[in-house]
Amino acid sequence: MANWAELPHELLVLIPKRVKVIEDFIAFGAVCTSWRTAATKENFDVFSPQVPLLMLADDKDDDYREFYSLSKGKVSRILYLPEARGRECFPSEGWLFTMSYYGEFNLLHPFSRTQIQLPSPKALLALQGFDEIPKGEIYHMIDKAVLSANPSLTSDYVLVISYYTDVNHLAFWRPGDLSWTKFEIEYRVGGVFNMIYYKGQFIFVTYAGEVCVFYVPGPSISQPIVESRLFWLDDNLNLFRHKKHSINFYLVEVDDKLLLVNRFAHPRRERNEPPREEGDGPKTFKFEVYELDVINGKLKKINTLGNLAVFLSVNGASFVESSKFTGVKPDHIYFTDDWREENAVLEDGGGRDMGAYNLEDGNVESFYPELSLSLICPPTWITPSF
Amino acid sequence: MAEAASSTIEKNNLTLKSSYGDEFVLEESIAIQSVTIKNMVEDGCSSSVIPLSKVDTGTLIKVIEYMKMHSSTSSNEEEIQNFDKEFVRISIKTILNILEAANFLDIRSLLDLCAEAVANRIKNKTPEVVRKIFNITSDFTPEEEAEIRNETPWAFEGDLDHSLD
Repeated sequence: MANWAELPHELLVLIPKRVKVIEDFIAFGAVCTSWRTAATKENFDVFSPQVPLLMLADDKDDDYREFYSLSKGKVSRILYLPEARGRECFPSEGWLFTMSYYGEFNLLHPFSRTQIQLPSPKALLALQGFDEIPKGEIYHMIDKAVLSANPSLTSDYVLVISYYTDVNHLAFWRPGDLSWTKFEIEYRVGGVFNMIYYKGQFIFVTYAGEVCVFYVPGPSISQPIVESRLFWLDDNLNLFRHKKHSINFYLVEVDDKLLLVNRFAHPRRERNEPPREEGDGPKTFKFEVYELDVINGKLKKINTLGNLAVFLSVNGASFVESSKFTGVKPDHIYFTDDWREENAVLEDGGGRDMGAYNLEDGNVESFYPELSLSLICPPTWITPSF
Repeated sequence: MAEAASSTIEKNNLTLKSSYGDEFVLEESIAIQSVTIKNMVEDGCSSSVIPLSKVDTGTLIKVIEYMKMHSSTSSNEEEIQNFDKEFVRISIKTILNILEAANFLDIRSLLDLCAEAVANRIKNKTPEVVRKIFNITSDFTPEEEAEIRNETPWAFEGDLDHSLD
């Protein structure tokens, strides 16, 4: 009499190959030993989209890190991850760019603990002749760290960082490069607010509302970098006239289109204001979504995301089709507490301003029932992979 | 549906015999969706009855139903999709029988349909619930179980979804 545990291996492997959600794949492998042998990562489709997990703050005094799943409605992974302890983490392409002050930069894949060593912060500072980060800039030397592709899938990728020393700078690193290559964008006014790799180029928005584009050539060419400022957002929107609000911008690619998501919060803070009361950080009250036509410098307002759910993180944004997953609502924007400047003056850091924004009616719901706070690394989204 | 065996077998008809001895007459053009049967026909075995010793009667009826639909020229893509959807609304035990028959008969699309149906049944379920659905007993050592439990704490909790569709 046939039974499911004794199915021939060549038949059994047909099943995990069709399991597209990574948590289901893990569950499949936890059923019995014969199913476990069929649930090897080679049988998982790495290109199937996944709901990001919320990597909770580094608020416990140990080497473990918890990951909260929207689909499960609970912590779904507890990973031994000493490599992320006490470090700022910037998620990109399923990896984390990690930084320890004056120590090192690494790329860390949190689900396999694979690390890629990067040239040091010292090497980066040396490009300007500095021995150390100028005083007063100790927090948030790194602003953004964006990968062009997933290092698990290819060695042909570029890492671009936006960082502060005296002012905001940009640098890139490619596998095999011995050091960072620093570069400038002509005419740029503001620091980088959000950056995305889109159709072979990096596009970023600055604090001043400039949209810029650049291209990092292959390993044999160190320079030049094609660079330009495309346009000012303020030519289209009156974003900076509402002086009472704090604003964050996010760029997200959806089906070949580039979307700009604007996030508004009360109250507006100025940089380096004195410490405030607990829980006195920004509170998000509104989002706007625009389709960005980078060629013509035009913005078109979008009133609905349809079936999509968008996830905004400190370092970028992603989306999933909500109908394919449990626990993810359509036409919602899932945001975390990304007010790094503002939270740096709070005693226990950021992690309060999180929620799911309904683009249809403007309501905000909570998606995480507890409070997870950190000055160094508040909760942020990361896409699970093997 | 399946037709009863007839003594006057037409030239392009085949007779398939289940493990219970029941015989079914099927047009050759439909039956050769099975690569196994196609090879038998090419090897000259088609004149007599084709014994399918690994396929019971109930399963063979389902497989023939599937092959008839998928060789029909009158049904469009949407009708076939709807048929497939309904076809796998069956017990997990029946899916297992069809999966093994599709493997033995080498009908790739039916194999894929069954594998997809199984994958759908484990969506957002804990291993504990999956074991109940598929009637599987965990055979992990305490060490293996502890390792899985550590990394995926939800994996051994049965409280997530008790529906056994």
